[in-house]
Amino acid sequence: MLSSQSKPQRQYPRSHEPIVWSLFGAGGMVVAFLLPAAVLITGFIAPLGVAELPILSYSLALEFCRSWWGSLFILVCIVLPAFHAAHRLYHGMHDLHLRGANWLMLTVFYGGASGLACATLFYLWILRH
Amino acid sequence: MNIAAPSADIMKVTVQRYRPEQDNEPWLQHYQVPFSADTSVLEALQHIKDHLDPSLSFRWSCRMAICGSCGFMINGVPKLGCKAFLRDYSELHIAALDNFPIERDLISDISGFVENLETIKPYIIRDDPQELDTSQPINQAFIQTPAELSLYQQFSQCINCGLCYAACPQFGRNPDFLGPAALALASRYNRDSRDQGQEQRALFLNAEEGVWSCTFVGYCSEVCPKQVDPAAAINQGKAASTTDYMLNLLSLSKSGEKE
Amino acid sequence: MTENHEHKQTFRKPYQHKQSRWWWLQNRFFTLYLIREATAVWVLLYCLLLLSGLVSLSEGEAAWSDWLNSLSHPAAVGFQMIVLTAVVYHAVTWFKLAPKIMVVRIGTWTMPERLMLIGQWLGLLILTAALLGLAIAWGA
Repeated sequence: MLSSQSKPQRQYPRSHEPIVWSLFGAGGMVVAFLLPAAVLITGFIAPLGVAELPILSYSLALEFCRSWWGSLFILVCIVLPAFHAAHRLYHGMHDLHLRGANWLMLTVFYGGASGLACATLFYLWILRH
Repeated sequence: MNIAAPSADIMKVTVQRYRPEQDNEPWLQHYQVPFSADTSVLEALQHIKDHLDPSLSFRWSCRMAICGSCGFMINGVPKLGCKAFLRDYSELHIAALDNFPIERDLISDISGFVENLETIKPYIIRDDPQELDTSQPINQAFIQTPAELSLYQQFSQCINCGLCYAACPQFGRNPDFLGPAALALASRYNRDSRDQGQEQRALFLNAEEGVWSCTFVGYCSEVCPKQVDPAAAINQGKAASTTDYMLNLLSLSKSGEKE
Repeated sequence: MTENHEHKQTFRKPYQHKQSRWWWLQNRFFTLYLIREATAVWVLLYCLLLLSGLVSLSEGEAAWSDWLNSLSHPAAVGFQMIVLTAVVYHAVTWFKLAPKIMVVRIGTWTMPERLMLIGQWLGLLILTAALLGLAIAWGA
C-alpha cells in the first residue's frame, strides 16, 4: 500500500454504466410487472388449455404483432428483459471470478443483448411486409 | 476460583492469530473463557489478554458501540465486539474483519478505508470560502431546518467501524472500490443544504470505483450497527449519477451544435 | 515526524486475504444474492423463447402452430415453471429494493418503504389480472 504522502493523484474516469444501468432498471421493471403474466400465458394457460386463447390463433397473433401497440409490447417484453439479464450476467461473471478481458465481456453480454434487440426489430419488421 | 459470577459458565473461544514477525499466515488458537449473561465478546477478549495470553492483540476503546474500533468477524459475521454477547452463542470464533489486510491478530489495516474517506471530501464545501464567517460556528453561519437535517441525518450516524467493508463482496473483489461507508458519507454531505460540493464529489461518485462498483448485495446495510443503510445511499447515488450522465450528454451535444 | 531514522526496523507484514471464488457460499445472504442474480439466466432464456415464437410467426401458419404445440411439451412446461419461479423471485427482491432507490418524498413526508412494497404488489396483481383478462377476452 502506498503511504498517503507519496500517493500520486488518482484518476477517476467517468463510468458509462448509466447507459446499461438505465436499461437494466427498465428491464427489471418489465420482468417484475409484465413477465409473470406473459409466462402464465405461454407456459400454463396456452399449453395446458386452462382457457381458450383466440389471440394465439395465427390470424389474430399476426394482427397483434402488426399493430403498433402490439409490436411495442413484444419489443418491451423481449428487449428490455434481455438487457436486464445481460447486465446481471456481466456483473455475475465478475462476482464468480469468471472474468475475461473487459472488451470481450462487454461484447458478449451487451453485444449479445443488442443482437437480440436487432433480431426482434427485424422480425417485427418482416411481419409487417 | 476467583470471585466470578456464581454460575460462571465456560465457553470455547477460537481466536484467529497472526504475528507478522513469525507467522506467514493466520492460524487459530483456542481458549476457555468464563462468562456470565452480560459478558460481551470484547470482554471475553480482554479476559484472554488479562488472564490467559497477554500477547493477543486487538483494537478497542469505548465499549459502547460509538468508537467503532472493535469490529471483528464473530462466527463469520461482521459485528462490534462490544455489541455482541456470549449468551447468544454456544461457541465463538473470532477473526479479523474480512477484506482488510491483517496487521496483527485481530487488528486490521484500515488505512485504505481512511484514504477512501479522505477522497470523498467529507466536509462542507462552499463555492466561495470567503463568505464563511469563521468567527461564527457553522450552524449560525448557515441555518438549517429540521426538514433539511432529516434529509441526511441517517447517513451521518456512521462510526467508521468498517463492518460494511467486511460485508461487501465487491470491496473484497476490487479494493479500489471506494466502498459503502465512504460513499454513504459522500451522500451525507451531498444532501446537506449547507454544502455546495456535489460537483467535486461527482468526480468520484460517477467513476467505476464510485457508486458503479456496487451490485446492491445489501449485506452492508444488514451488518451496520448504526442503521446507516449505505446500500440505499449508494443506489440512490446511482440514480443521481445517471441523471448527471444524461444531463452531461445533453450539454455535450449542445456544445457540439454551437461549433 | 522526523524522517530517516538510522535504525528503522519494522516487522510490518500485513496479511492480505484473497477472496475465494466461492465467497457466495459463505453465508445465506450472499447465496440468496447470487440466486437473485442467477434469475437473469432464466429471463434471458425466456426472451429467446419469445423471440423464437416471433420467428415462427413470421415463417407462416404451419411454423406458428408447431411453435404453439412445442409449448405443451413436458420439457417446455417444466422450463417455464422454472422461469415463473425465477421471475417471481426477481419480483420479490426487486420490490424490496426499489423503495431504497426511489424515495418518494412529498414536502416533509417520506413514503414508508412498507407502503411502496404493498403498492408494487398491488400493481403486479392488477397488471397480471388485466393482461390475462385481455389475452383471454381478445377476439373471443
